[in-house]
Amino acid sequence: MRGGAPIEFPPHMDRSRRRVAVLLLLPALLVVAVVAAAPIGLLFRVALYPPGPVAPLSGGPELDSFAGLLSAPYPSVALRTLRLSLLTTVLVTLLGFPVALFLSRSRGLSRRIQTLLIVSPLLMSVVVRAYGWMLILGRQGFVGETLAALSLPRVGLLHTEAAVLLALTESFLPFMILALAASLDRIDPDLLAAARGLGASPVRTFFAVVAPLTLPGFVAGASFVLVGSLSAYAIPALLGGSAARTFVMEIYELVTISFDWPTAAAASIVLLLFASALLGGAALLSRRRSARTFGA
Amino acid sequence: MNPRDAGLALEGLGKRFGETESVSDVTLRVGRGELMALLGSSGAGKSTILRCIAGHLEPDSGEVWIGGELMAQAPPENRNVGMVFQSYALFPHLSLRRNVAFGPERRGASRGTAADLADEMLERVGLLELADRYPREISGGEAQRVAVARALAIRPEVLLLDEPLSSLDQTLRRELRSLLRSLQRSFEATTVWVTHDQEEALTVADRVAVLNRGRLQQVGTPLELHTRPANTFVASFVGKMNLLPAAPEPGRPDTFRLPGGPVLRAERDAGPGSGAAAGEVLLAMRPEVVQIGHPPAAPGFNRIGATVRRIAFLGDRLEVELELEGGTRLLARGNTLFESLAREGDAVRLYWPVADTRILIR
Repeated sequence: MRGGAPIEFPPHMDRSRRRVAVLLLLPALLVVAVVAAAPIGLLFRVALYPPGPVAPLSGGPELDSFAGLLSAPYPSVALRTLRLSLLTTVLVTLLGFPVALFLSRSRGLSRRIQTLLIVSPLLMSVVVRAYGWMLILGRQGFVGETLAALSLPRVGLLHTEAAVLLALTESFLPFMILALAASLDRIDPDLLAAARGLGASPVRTFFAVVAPLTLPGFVAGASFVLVGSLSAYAIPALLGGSAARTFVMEIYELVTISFDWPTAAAASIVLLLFASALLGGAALLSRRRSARTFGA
Repeated sequence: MNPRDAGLALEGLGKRFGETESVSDVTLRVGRGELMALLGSSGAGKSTILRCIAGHLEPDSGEVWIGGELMAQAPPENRNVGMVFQSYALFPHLSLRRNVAFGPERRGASRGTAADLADEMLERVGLLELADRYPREISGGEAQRVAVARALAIRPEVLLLDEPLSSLDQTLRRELRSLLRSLQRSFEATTVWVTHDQEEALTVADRVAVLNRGRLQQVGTPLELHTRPANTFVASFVGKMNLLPAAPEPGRPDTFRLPGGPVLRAERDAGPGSGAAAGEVLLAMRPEVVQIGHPPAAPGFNRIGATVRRIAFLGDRLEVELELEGGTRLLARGNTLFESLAREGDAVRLYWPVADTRILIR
C-alpha cells in the first residue's frame, strides 16, 4: 500500500479534482468524527475507571472493569447471546434461501411486488413488531387462546429464548433474502443447464453450483444478521425479559440501573471488538474464497 | 433413415411460447457421427431446438430420439448430450480441470480418475498448462476450447454447439473451426452445430438444415443447398441468387417469358416451381454462372442481351449489375477478365447453362 494517502483516488483523477473531492468528503468525515469516533474514544476512556456505581468518575486508569466481565453473569449471558445470533443466522438462511430463489426467478411487476412484501415489515418499528409477537405468543395471546380453545393446557412462549429466536429470525429475514437474491441474480442460467447436462440432478446442481456462487451474498447477509442480532435490544428485552438476558440488555442495565459506567463501557468495547472481528473475518474469508471466481 | 438408426432424430418437433410458435413440425435425422449445421437467423428457433434435444425444454409435440432411444420426458442428466453454450457457461468457482472433470464425476468417476480424464481432454485442446486457472483468468478463445473439452469429456452420444464461434474474432474463428471439426471427427459424436453464419455452416458441416421462422426449409449437403435450393429463402440465405419473375409459356413447361419479352429455358424438373401457374414462378441462377461474351455454339445455354448498369470490384472478383430487355435486373460475378468485356452503359451478350437455371415458387 502507498504510504501517506488515506483516500485512494482513481488513477485518472488529477490534482485539482482530488482537492474538490476532499472538500466534498469533509462534511461527512466531520460528522463521522463527531458522532462515531469521538464517543468510541470516550468509551475507552470511561472503561479504564475502576468499576462500580460511582457518581463522579475518578481513579485509574486500570483494567478492572474488563476483568469484572469474566465473572458471573457475563460469560453465560455472552454465550446465550452468541447462541441466539448463530441460530438466528442459520434459521434466516434456511428460511430465506427458498424465498430468495423464488424472488430471483421472477421479473417485472411481480418481482417488485414481492420485494415490497419482503421489505414491508422493515417499515414498522421493531418495538411495534416485538409487541405484536407478545400478543401472539403470550399466555393470553393467540397461541395460548388457541390451545385453550382446543382444551389443551395453556402454554405461553413469551419470556423464553425460543420467543427471542423467533422474533429475531422474523426481523432479520428480509436482509438475508435480499442479500441472497442479489447473488442469485448474477448466476447465469446457462450454468444450471450446463450442470444438468453434465449429469447433475437438480439437488446436486444446487449444492455444486448454486450454493458456492451465492457465497458472497450469504457472507454479506450472515455478517449483517450476526452483528445485528448480537446488538439487538428491543426484541430480547420485550420477548425474553429476565428469562433470556442478552449482552446488550446487561449493558443497558449497567448504564441505567446500576450506574456502573466503567463496566458498561468495557462490555460495549468487548461487543464492538467482537463484532468488528466477525465482520473482518467474514470479509477476509469471502475475499479469499471468491477472488478467483468473481475477481477482486 | 429410421429414427432408431439415426444418431439423433427429431420427429415432428413443435414448441410454442404463449402465442408465438417457436418451432413447428421439425423432422430431422442426423446420422451417427455426422455433423449437421442448423442454419438460420436469430429467432428462427435454433436454440429452442437445441434445448429440446438437451432436455432443458419440453416440446409441445413430437419426439426426440438420441442414439436410437426415444427420450420421452427424460431430464437432461439422463440424456447423454454434451452441450457447448454460446456463453460457454464455465463454472466460475471451479478451476478449468474441475470444470472438465465435472461431468465424469457426476457420472460416477472417482475424483482422481475424473481429474486425469480432464487433464487428457485439456491436453487435446492444447490447454493442459492452464488446468489450474479459473475461467475468469483465461481468454474467450481458451474458454471456448475448455467448454468443448468439458462437453466431450462425458463421451456424449450427441454434441450440441450453440453458436460456438460467434463471440470470437475472425482469425480465432477459423482456427477453432478446424479444431472443433477434427475433435468432432475423432470422437465420432453426432453433432448439431447451430449458427447464423452461412459461410461457417457451409464450410464445416456434412449437411446443413436451413431453418426459417421455426420451420425447416431444406436439408442437404452444402453443394446441394448452393446449386439446388428448394425455395427462395434458401436461395437468398445461402449466398447470392438472381430471382427473376417469369411466366411459363403455354404448352412448353421448360420455357419461360420474362416481362418485356426475353425468353429463358430451364430443365423440366429443375425445382419446385416446375409446372406452377403463371405469375408464381421465379427463375433462379447464381451470379457466378452468368457469363458475359459471345455464347458458345453448343446447345444447352440461355442466351440474352443486356445493358451494363454498374460494375463493382469485390476484391478478387467483379460484380456486374445488368439490365435485361424489359427492365429486369440481373447480377453477374466473375473474374477480372469481365472488365475487358464490359463498361458501364455497354450493350453485352449474356449466357449461362440451362442446367444451372432453377425454377422456384414465388
